[in-house]
Amino acid sequence: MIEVTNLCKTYGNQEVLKNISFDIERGEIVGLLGPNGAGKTTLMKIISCFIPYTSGTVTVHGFNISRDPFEIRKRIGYLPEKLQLYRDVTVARFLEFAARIKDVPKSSCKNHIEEIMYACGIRHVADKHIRKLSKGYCQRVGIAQALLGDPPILLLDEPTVGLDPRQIVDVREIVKKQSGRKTVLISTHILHEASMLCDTVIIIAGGRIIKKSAHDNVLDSISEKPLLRIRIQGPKVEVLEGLSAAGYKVEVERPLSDREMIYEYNAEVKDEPELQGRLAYYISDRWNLIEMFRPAVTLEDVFMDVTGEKDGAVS
Amino acid sequence: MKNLIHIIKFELRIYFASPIIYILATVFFGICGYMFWDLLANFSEYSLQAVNLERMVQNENISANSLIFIPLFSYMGFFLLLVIPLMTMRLLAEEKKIGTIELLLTYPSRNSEIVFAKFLASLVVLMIMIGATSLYPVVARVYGVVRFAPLIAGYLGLLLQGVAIMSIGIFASSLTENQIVSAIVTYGIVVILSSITWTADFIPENISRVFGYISLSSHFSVLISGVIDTREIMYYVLFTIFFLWSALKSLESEKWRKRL
Repeated sequence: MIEVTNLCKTYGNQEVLKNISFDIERGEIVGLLGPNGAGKTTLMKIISCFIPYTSGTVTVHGFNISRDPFEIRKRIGYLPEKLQLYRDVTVARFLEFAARIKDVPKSSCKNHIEEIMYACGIRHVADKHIRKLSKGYCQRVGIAQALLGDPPILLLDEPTVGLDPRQIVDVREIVKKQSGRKTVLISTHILHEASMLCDTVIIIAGGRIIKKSAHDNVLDSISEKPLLRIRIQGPKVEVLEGLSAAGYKVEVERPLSDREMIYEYNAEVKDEPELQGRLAYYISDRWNLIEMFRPAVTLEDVFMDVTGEKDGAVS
Repeated sequence: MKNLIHIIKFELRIYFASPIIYILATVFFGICGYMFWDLLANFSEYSLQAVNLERMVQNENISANSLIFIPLFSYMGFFLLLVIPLMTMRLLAEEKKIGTIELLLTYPSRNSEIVFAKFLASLVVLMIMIGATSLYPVVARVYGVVRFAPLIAGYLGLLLQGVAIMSIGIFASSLTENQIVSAIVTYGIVVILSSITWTADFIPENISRVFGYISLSSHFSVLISGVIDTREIMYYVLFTIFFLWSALKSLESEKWRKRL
C-alpha cells in the first residue's frame, strides 16, 4: 500500500532523511516511532504530498508520489502534527467543505459527515465555531476531516500530542477502530501508544530506520537478553563482591529499603532453570533472597536499546 | 472545476465571517458616498449657474457624467487601491501563518484551483462593493440627465482596475506569511505601476511609451471616460493572468524554498 525506497531528504546541508526504505501492507497499522527531530514529520509530509523529497521513490496505492500526487491525495486522510483549522467557521461547515473537496457526493455528504462526527464524538459541537473548541476537540475534528471520504490510507502525525488522558484514550479508540479497514501510518514518540495501537513498529532516529519489525518481534528481540532481576536483603557491597567473585555479572538497579538493606540487582543470567536455581541457592546460602524474576520487556527498553539512549531520556 | 466552486464558497464564508470586510466596506461606502454627495452638490450648483449664463451651455460640457461620474470613478479607483490590498493580504499569507495551508495542499485540489478560487471569491466581494455604488447614477438621475452607456464603461474600468490590484494582492500574499508585509508589497507594486509614467520627462521616448503601456493609471483613465477599448481590456486581462500565474508559481516554489 505504501512503498518507500531509498528515500532521502535534505534541507540545505542538513540531511533529514537518509535512505529510508519500508513497505506497508494493506490494512496494517504501522507506528513510526522516534524522538523529536528524528524525521518522522518530514516523512509524513512527504508521503502526504505536502513537501518534495530529494531522492528515492515513494509509491502510495500504486501511484508514484512525484508523478501522481493528485491521485494520492484522493486516497489519503492526513492529520498534520501541528494541526491548524479554519477558526472562523463551524465544525459542520468545515467538515462539509473537506467532504466536498474530497469528492463525497452531495446526496450522501450530510449522512457521511454525521457518521464521522458521531464516530469521533463531535456531533454535539457541530454548530460551534472551531475557535471556541478545546485542543482535544480540535484534534478530533482533525481526525474527522482525515476520515472523510473514507480514504484507504490514513496518515496520523502525533495524533495524541497535547491531549489530556481521557482525550488520548478516545483518540486511540478511534484509531483502533480503523484496524483492518484502513492502512494507517501513525507517527508518535510515545512508546506505549505504538505498543497499544500498532501491528508493526518502525523505529526512526537521526533520519535513519533503526529497526522495523512486527510489534511482538521487536519485544522478542530484546527479551533474548539474559536479564534477571533479584531482590536481596544484605550488605550491598558484600552482595556485589560475592556475586562477582562467583562469576555473575551484576549491578545495582535501585535501593528498595536502605534501612533494611534491601536492594534490587540486575544480573545477566541465561534463561535456563538450572543456572537460575544455582544462583538462587548461592544467594540464599549467604543472604536473604526476597524475589527473583525476569522483567517484562517494554517498548521503552527496545527503544533505548536500538537508539543507544541508555539514560532513558527520550527527548 | 467542482473543487473551484467548493473553495470559492468556503472562502466567501471566511470573508464574511471576518469583521475586516465589513469595516472596509463601510469605509469604502462612507468615503464614496461623501464624494458623490459633494460632486452632486457641485453639479447642482454649476447647472443653475449654467442655466443663468446660457452661453456656457453652448461651450461647455456640463453633463452629470462628466461632472459627477468621471471624477467619482477616479476617486473610487483610488479608494479601491487603498481597500483591496487589505482585502487580499490574508488570502494566502494567513493560511501559511496559521498553518491551514498544510491541510489545503494535501486535499485533492490543484494549486491552480486554490489560487484561482481565492481570486474569484475576492472578485465576488469586489463586485458586491462596486455594485452597491450603482445606486449613485439612479440618485443623480433625479437631478439631471445621466447617460448610462458611458457609465458601463466606467464601472467596467473600476472592476478591471480592482481585479488587477487583486491579482497583485494575491501574488504579494503568496510571497510572505505576514499580512502587513503582503499589504505593503501590494501598495508598493501598485504605486510603482501607477506612477511609472511620471518618469516620461527623464527617459527616452521609446521606453517612455512602454512605461505608458505598462502603467495602470493610463488604462484606467481611458475606461472611466466612457470608452470601451478592447486594448485596455486585454491589458487588464493579461496583467491579471500574469500576477495570478506568478502567485501560483510562488506557492509551488514555497515547497522547495523552505519548510512550509
